[in-house]
Amino acid sequence: MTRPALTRRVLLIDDEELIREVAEVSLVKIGGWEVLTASSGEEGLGKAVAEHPDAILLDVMMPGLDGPATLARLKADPATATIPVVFLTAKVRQSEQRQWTDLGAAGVLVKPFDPMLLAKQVADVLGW
Amino acid sequence: MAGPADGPTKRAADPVVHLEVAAELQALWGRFQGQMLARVETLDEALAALVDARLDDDLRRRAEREAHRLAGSAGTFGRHRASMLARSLEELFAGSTPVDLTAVPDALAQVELLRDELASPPSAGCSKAEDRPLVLVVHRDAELGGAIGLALEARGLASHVTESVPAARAALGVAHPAVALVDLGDGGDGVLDLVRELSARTPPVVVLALTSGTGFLDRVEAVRAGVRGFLPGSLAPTELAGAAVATVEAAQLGRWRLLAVDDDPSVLAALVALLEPAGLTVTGVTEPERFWAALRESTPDLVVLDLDMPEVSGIELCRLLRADPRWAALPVVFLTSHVGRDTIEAVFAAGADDYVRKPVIGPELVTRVSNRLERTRILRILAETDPLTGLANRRKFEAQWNRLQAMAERYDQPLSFALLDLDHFREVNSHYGHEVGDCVLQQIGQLLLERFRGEDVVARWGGEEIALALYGMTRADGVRRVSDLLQAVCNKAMVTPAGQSFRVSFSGGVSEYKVDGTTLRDLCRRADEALYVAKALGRERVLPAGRQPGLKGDDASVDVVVVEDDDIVAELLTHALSGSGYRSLRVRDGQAAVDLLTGASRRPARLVLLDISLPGLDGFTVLEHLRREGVLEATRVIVLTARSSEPEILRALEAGAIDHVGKPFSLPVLMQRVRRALAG
Repeated sequence: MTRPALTRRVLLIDDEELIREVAEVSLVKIGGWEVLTASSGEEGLGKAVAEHPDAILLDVMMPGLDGPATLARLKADPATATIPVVFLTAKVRQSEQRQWTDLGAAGVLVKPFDPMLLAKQVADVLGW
Repeated sequence: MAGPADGPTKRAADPVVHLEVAAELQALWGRFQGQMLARVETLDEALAALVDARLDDDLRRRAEREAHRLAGSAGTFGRHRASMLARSLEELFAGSTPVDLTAVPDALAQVELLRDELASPPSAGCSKAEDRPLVLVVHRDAELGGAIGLALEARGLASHVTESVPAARAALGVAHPAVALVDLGDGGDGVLDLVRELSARTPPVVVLALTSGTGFLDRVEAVRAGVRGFLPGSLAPTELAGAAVATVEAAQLGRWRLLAVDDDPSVLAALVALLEPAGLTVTGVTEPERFWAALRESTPDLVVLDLDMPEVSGIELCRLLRADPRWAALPVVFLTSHVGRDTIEAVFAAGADDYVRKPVIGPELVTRVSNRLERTRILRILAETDPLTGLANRRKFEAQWNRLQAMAERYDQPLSFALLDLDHFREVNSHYGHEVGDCVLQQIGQLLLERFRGEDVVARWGGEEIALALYGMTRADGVRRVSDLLQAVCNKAMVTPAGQSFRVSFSGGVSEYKVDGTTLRDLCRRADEALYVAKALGRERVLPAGRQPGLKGDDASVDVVVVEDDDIVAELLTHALSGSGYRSLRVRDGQAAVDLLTGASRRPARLVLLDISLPGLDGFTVLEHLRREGVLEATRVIVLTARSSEPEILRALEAGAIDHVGKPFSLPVLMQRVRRALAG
């Protein structure tokens, strides 16, 4: 029997509106989660502190504070250090994936993602 | 229905959730489509700047970024082709290395395709009915495979790219490719089993193998498995695509072709449905007046005529057909709903070979048509093959040429003719004897069949001469292709029956349809002239037609007139032009240009490269003269401007120039413009 889970909350940080919209559809409709969005690393950091989501999906390539820099800040702040972070990236080389997980990311998902599968992939990475 | 408490796996599998998500995604696509198309504009802008050699780092980076985002967005919506196209463009603009100019033509085509893809409405789930021939690409390197796929799509073929043998097998479950490009690697992973399966399918899939320099592979084994041709893996994706296109065309040439005339489209549809699965290509014509054009274009092996058409009767068409010596031997089968004695007599009296009753019954029609074809086949093979070399003979070549010429017209493709002649063949004959001479011809024929099989048309033209029809190739392409062949011939040791071995070479000339002439006879003459010069220059070389001064053809038109007072620039230009197979002529000043192009003994030219600042008459004045004399109707002008000054450029374009290039120019860019101007 599936035990009713509390509604999980996911923070999605991506500078591209289209990606945020599509991912949100998938995470809400298929994941059944609540979704918060941020369009920059800076905005994401603020929301992470204020809302303390259950997980963060983080774009790698962003102007200003990019993905890795945002992750470093999240890890440096005790208030957000324990939130699992999953990178979203088009850069798919193995060596780079290692680099992201070495920085403390819980996993890496490849862009472009299939909206029908994204929620499941997130759940798999996080062990939900 | 799955509830909110269920996991994503279960919810994703729920059809209602699936539909809801699909609907929302479709709405989002509609919302972002405009934005994505706007991003393509940036790519356009960057390519235009690149062509004009004014692409700065900022624009390059923006283009890279927009392409990157397009790749991501399109892929997210399942638009994989658009995503691949964008990815390829992203790579073009990426990184610190200078952008590769040779990639520009492909990139321009890719941007166009990308725009089409993004503008097209969402497809309903799976792929739509596909009538383009499919090419299966099996390549371990996904990126390279993708690039080949794009090049194929750019040439009008459908492609399916897979990375592994199992993936290729899965693809075969849903589609039947005409041609497969298979990276053989080291021959492992059961790749040869895949080749066997492909060759064993009905109709068989023509397999072209990509071989790498390092991979070990037994070619004999590969040929036994069914590989029909080898291509070096080092070829550019566009070249590989070109080979695939030629093979597809040839595969279609190899099928029996049937031309059917019936005013009832449903009868034609029935013929297609019945005969195409039996391996025939059916061209249907509903209006009898289209018959002759269709006959020339499709050069059918058999004609099916409807007896009772309202306008022109089938009997009438058949009589006309029989009266023309070119078609007198063509099998004709009638379709008729009347089978009275008079009708049957009239049908045979008009020259028909057989008749089939309407309504058409499948097995009867297939049997009658294929009987007819099988009987002609043996006769035809005997009549069309040169017995010594196994190559086509001249008659067959001429028939095939007409077909290729019609295709070249219809699809706006180049078509070249090459004439080769073995060097010192008389000496071979007198030194070793005629038997050895024949043996050499045989071995050359074999080599040609191996290298050109399934692709272009190769024929023994007579004596020790061989003719090639090179579809999709310009004169310059042809020279390169035939030079490669020359290399292979030179490297091959000929062996006499007595066991002596020696080497032979040939000389060749190449002419291009519409550039050097419009009839096979003219093209042959032009190629022969070039061949003559190749011999005179010491043999063992291949030359394009018409670049030799002082020959018979000197009074003919030139491709490009270069009007340039600077000797160094002029030399650079004429050298580049002749290297690309164009005939060029240079004049030093404006007056000479006007005299040459408008005078009593004018030389028609297709393109003028006109320097704007000239001594005496300047470029604007020359343009003005050309326009007044009506020269600009047939001749295009690209102006070379010393400064990229906008008023100067505008003035030149208003005066009738089609394009401008700023000095100092990049030679590859300029040549690209020249090719475009001459192609358009």
